Amino acid sequence: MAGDYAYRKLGWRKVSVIAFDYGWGHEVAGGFQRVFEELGGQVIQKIWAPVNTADFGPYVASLKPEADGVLDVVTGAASIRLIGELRKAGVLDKKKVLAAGTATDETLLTALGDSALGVLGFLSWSQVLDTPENKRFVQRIKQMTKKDYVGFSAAINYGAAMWIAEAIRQVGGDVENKDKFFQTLRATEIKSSPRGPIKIDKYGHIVQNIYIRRVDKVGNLYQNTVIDTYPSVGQFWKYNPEEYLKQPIYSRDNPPCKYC
Amino acid sequence: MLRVDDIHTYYGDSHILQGVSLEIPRAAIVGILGRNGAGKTTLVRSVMGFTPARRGRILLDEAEITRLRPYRIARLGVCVVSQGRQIFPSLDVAETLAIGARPNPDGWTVEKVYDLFPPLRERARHPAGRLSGGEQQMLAIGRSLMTNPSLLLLDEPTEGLSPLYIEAVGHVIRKLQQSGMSMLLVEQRLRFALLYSDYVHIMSRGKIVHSSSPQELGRDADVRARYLGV
Amino acid sequence: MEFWVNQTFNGISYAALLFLLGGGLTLIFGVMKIVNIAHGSFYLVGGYLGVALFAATGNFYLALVGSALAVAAGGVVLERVFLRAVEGDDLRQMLLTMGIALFVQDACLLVWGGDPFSLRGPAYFAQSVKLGGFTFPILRLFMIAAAGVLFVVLWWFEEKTRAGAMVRAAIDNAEMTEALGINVPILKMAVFGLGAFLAGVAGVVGSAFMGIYPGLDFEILPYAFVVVIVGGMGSLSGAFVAALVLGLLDNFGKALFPEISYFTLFAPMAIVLAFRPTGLFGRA
Ligand SMILES: Nc1ncnc2c1ncn2[C@@H]1O[C@H](COP(=O)(O)OP(=O)(O)OP(=O)(O)O)[C@@H](O)[C@H]1O
Ligand SMILES: [Mg+2]
Repeated sequence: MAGDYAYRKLGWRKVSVIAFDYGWGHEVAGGFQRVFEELGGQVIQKIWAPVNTADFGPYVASLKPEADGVLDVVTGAASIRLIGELRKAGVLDKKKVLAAGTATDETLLTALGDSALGVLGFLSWSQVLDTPENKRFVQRIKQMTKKDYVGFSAAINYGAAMWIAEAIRQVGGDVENKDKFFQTLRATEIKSSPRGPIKIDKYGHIVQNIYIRRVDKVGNLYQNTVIDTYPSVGQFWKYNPEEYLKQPIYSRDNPPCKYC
Repeated sequence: MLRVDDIHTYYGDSHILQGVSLEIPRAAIVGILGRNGAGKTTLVRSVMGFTPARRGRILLDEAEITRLRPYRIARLGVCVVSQGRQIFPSLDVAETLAIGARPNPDGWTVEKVYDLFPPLRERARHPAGRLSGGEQQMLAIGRSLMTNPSLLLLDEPTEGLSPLYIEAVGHVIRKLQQSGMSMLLVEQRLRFALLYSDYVHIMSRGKIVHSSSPQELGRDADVRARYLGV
Repeated sequence: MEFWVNQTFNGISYAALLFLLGGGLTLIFGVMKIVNIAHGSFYLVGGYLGVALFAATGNFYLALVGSALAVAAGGVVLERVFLRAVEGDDLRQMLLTMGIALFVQDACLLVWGGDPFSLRGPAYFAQSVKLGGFTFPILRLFMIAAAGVLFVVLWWFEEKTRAGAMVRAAIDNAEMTEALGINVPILKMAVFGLGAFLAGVAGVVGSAFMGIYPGLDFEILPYAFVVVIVGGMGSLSGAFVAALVLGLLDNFGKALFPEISYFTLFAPMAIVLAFRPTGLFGRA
C-alpha cells in the first residue's frame, strides 16, 4: 500500500529506494516495488545499505536526480544519519521522502530534529493518533516514563498484551488447555487498541490499520501527524494469499530492478 | 658504591638468582663471567630494577634500591648498556642522546659524546636502526653517559663487534673509569674481562661460584676449564 | 565531475572521523602494548557528555573540549587505578579494558537511557557552503579541520619535541626508556589520557555526524581496529594515512559498487595484512 500511496497520492512515477540489506529491508522494498510498478511506476534505483552503515554520504550523493521521490527503508539510529544526510545534501528540499514508519519513530524525533520535518512515513500507529484509546494509552505511558515521547514498540506490544489478556479472559483463565486457548486467541479481535482495531489472519499474521504520517513540529515537540489511513491492511493487502505465497520471497534481486 | 646482598630473583616461578652477593667499590670495574644462561643478565636486570629481586637487598651508597622502579634507580645514578644494545629504531642519533640527558656541571653533553664517538656526530640525523652494529653500541653507551651515571652496568658490550670496535669499547671503559665511574662489566670474552676488571666473579646456575682478582683467575686454568670451558 | 568532487569530499570527511577514532587507539597500543577494548566506551561517553554539555551550555566548542577533557581524565584514572594494578600482564590488562567496556555500556544505558541522541551543534552545522559550483556541508568541513589540526599538532609533538621522542622511545622499548631515568609510568598515563581525549573528540564529532546510542561503543570498535591494523600498530602517521585510504575506499566502494559495501573497510585490511602484516607504517 506504500507503493499505492506513492503512485496515487504523491504522484510519483520514478523512485529511488534506499533500504537496509536484510530481510526486513528486502521485504518492505520488494512489496513497495511490486505495487508501485504494477500501477505503472518505475523503481529506477535500489541501494542496499549494510545495517551498520556509519556514513550514508556516498549513497545519498549517488541518488539519481530524475527520481520523483525516495523510499527510505532504514530504521533505528541509522535513520538519524540517513535523514540528516538527505537534509544536508539538499535532497529533502527538492523531493519527498517516504519512509518505513520506524524511520521516524517517536523515540528518534528529538535526535532527528528539524532534519526530518516533512518526511512521510507509513506505520500502524502514531503517538498523536486521534482516538480516545490512544490518548489514554499515551498519557499513561508518559506518566510512567516521564518522557515526552512514546515509542512504537510500547504501543504495539501494549496492543499485543491486550489481545492476549482478552483471550485469557474469554477462556476464563484456563490457559493450561492449550488447544482451546490458542483457538480462542486466533479468533480474538480487539476493536480499540492504541493503534486501532487488530486481529490476525489465518496465517497468524496481524491485520491492522496503516497510517500515513508526516513529521511536523507543534510547539516545541515533533510529532508524526496522521494524514491518511489505509484501514485493515493484512500481509497480502489486496492480493490473493494462495497466489501471493507461491511467489519467491523478496530478496536483493527479487523483484529485479527493471528500470535501474 | 653498590652492594648486592644475597638476592633471589625469579621469572614467574623459575628461581634464577639463588643468593647472589657482591660489591662494587667506587671507580672500580667488577667483571662478571659465566656461560650462557648462568644468570648474568638477570643480575643486571635486578640491579636496574627491571626484574626486582624477591629476596635480599641491593644498596646504592647505603640507600636501598631493591624494589624501586627503574626510572628512580636511574635517577640515583645507575644506567645500563643492555645486552643486544636495545636501540630505539624510530629515533635518530641526536634524539636518542637527548631524551635521557640529565645535565650536570662538567658532566656529559652531546658534544662530549660526539667527541668520544666521532662517527655518531656524522650520523646525528640518521635513524638509529640504520647504524652499523658498532655504531649502535657507541650510541647505546653514549645514551647512557648522557644520564651522567656514577654506576654503569655493561651487559656484554663487545658482543658481535669486530676487533677494531672491541678495542674502542675497551678504550672508552678505561677512560670512564679514570673519570671516577664504577662499572659492572658482564662479559663472555675472558681476555677482555681480565684486561679491564679490577675484580672478577664467575656465575653458574644463578650463583657466584668463583671470586678473585683477574690475575688469579688468569693463572687458575682449573677454574676456567670448569666454569667457562676454556 | 560533481560526483567525483562530492564523493572525494565525503570520503575525506569520513576519514577524519576514522582518524580521530583510530589515532587514539594506536597511541594507546603503542605505549601500553594492549588493545584497549574500552576505546569504544571512551567514544560513547564522549558523545553522551558532548550532547549533555551542549544542551547545558549551547556552545558546541565548549561541549567538545569539555567532554574530551572529561574523557581524558577518565582514561587517566582508569590507567592509574586499574591497568597499573596488573601492569606487565597484557592479557589481564586487555580483559580489564573489556570489563570496563561492559560496565560503561550498562552505566550509559542507566544514565542516558536507550533512545538515540544526536548532537545538533551550532546552526551552521546543518548548512553548506558553495564553492565553485560544488556544495560542501559545514559539519563535514569541520570534521576535516578538526582531524587535520589534531593530526598536525600530534605529529609535530611526536616527531619534533623531546617529549615526543620519549614517547617514541617508550613505544620502541619501554624498559630501556625507563632505564634512562624517564618516568615511563607517567608517560603511559599521559598517552593513555591523550588517546582517550582523541576518542572523546571523536565521540562528540561523531554524535553530531551520526548520532549516539547504546551499543555504538562496540559497533565502532572494529572501525578503530581496522585503522590501527592497516596503519600499523602504534603509528600515528600510519593511522592518518590508513584513515584517508579507508575513508576514500569506503566511499567510492559504496558509491560505485554498492554490492560490495560490506567489504570496503575490511577487504583492504585483509589485503594489507596479507602483504604487510605489520601494517603500512608498522614496525616489526
Ligand atoms: N624472561 C624470562 N623468563 C623465564 N626465564 C628466563 C627469562 N629470561 C631468562 N630466563 C632464564 O634465566 C636463566 C638466566 O638467564 P640470563 O639471561 O640471566 O643468562 P645470561 O647469563 O645473561 O646468559 P647469556 O650469556 O646468554 O646472556 C636462563 O636459564 C634463562 O633461560
Ligand atoms: Mg645475558
